Amino acid sequence: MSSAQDYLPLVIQGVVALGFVVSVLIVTHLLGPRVHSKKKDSNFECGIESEGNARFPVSVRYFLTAILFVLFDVEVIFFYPYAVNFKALELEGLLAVILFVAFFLIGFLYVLKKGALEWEK
Amino acid sequence: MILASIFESGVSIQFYIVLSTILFAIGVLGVLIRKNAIIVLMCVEIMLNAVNLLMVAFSTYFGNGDAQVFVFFIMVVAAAEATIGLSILVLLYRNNRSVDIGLFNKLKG
Amino acid sequence: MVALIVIFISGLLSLFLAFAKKPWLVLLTASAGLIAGGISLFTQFYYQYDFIHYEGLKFDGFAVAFGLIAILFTLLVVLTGYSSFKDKPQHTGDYIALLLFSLTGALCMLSFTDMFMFFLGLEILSIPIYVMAGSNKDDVRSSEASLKYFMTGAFATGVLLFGIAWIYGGTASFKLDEITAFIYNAEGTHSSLIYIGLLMILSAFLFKVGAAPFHFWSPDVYDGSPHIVTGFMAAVVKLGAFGAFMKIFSVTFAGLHDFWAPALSVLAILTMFVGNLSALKQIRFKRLLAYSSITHVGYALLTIIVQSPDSAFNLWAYIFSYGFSTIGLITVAIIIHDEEDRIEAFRGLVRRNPFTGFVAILGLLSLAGVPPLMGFFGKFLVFSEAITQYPWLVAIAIINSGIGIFYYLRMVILVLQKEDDDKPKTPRHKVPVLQMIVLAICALALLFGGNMLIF
Repeated sequence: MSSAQDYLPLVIQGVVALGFVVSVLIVTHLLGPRVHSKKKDSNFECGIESEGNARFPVSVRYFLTAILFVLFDVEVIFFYPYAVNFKALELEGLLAVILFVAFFLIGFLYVLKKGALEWEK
Repeated sequence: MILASIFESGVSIQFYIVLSTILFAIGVLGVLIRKNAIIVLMCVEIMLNAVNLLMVAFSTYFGNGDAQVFVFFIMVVAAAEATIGLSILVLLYRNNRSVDIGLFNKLKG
Repeated sequence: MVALIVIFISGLLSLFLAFAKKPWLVLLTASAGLIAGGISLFTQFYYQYDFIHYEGLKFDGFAVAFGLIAILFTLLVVLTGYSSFKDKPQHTGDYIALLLFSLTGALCMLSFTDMFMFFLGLEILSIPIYVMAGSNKDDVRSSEASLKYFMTGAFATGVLLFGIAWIYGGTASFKLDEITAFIYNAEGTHSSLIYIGLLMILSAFLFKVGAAPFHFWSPDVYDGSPHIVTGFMAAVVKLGAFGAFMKIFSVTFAGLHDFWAPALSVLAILTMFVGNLSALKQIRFKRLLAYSSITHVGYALLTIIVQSPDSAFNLWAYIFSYGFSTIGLITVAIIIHDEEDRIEAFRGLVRRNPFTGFVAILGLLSLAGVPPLMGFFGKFLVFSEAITQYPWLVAIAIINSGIGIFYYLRMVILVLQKEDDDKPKTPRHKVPVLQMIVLAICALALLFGGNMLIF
């Protein structure tokens, strides 16, 4: 199994990442000018009275696009093992991947036909 | 120094088993006690990731790649499941204006 | 394998044909695909010839027998549902295609030889049903059922996968025959990983089939889903889950029978009592059906507990009879079309629509297990097989059948009764031709299918 040396880069990376965050926090705290006034300490308010409900409806189209993105994005994961074994799998592997992409494309065609990607309707 | 001994002997399989069991338990607890449906969904993902970790650990331990292929399938299916779950949540949010699972009580008896 | 591809392609076709806005075209494609799938499944088994070979799936006698009734039930469900599907022509294709995709998952679950295909089959079976349960988009109850089904289903999947990972840790293999061989070879000296994995897989299965400590989702989901989906879940999904249950526990883990059988028998008893006692006070029809299905799961678990060469056939016969009764009753409920889905709406059915009422009575009596009908023979096979090994279990099952007869008979009487005179009379229900065909098939099967099971 792996030895201690193999984990050294990980430890260094962790220390650097943590150190950067902590040092930035401390430095900004020290360097930033501090001005106190009544106006600055009070809550932020804009000139116009707020109106309406904050929970306004977000377009469902947005969710649809986002969700479709997740699906199509993750399915690409199957290309990683194929890319690694590209040479070894030869023609048979290529055909299998083409079949996979074809099914994928059918799904995409269905999404297009359904009009799920039309932004304005 | 237990930490030093880990570094000297390499990380043995027991640690992976314990870690993935803890992760799985966190996921199960989250599903059982959290009220927000989106967080419940995230906890299910934690459970699946615990499984992934365990499978990859066993796979390296036995030196065969079967489980690593399985992990690819789990990831893809988990994505499909999350997609369906989020769609169902959007559907419910439009009807209920909330994703609190305590409010989904129309079906009883 | 060919059957799987044929059904999948017909599902895809019906998905795209729906854009033509001609529901009958979709129905035709789907039915043709199902029938072609059934024929190819049968011929492939008969001639022992499969021109697409894949080691993860093996269509042996078990898979073909269960697969054929899965296809038949799906066909019946599609025919029954057509009248409600075609009201939304833009979605007809989606509904029918999702049912077909789910069926391909069920076929995978009946024929897998390794854990990969088992897991994929389970997901392909479940995911379309999560969507179908919520297909009634304007109804809050439907989306709630969908969410509940999804949450419990996803949770069960997580537990199942964890179990598979442990089993892999114990045996270093995903292949069922290698796991079986490992368990037999290492008699008594298994690593504890296998036991943990087995318990996890067992509880995930109990979730999926809806057995007692994990049954709580099923009444809600059955109640909220559209009628068609309830019928499909009760018939096909349960069939797939039970097929896989039997494959994994009665075959692969047979060497550990002493370990899991006592636990499963206690759970079977619990399942019967929970289902029956809760069913007594139901006023909504689909909820009653859900609890009745829980009870039937309890009886069907007997076939898995009992180790005998006939177990697979008994389970097959039991699910065969149960599926026909459920699909018949669901069809009747669709014809009655009561908004509230009350059991009360069945009152006087036999006077309004004699044939529909007749099928309803047949279905109820068959579920209760009354002799000349198919349900009796299913129960008879299961109980008579179990009685030598587990007499006390059979005794409890028979007591439960007695309790069951009470609420089934109450409903039969309701169907036979006259309507109240002071209330306005319910008009005669219209029965579309396709549903009439389904009712006729169910009636024939329930009346004469039982004798065929015995011979």
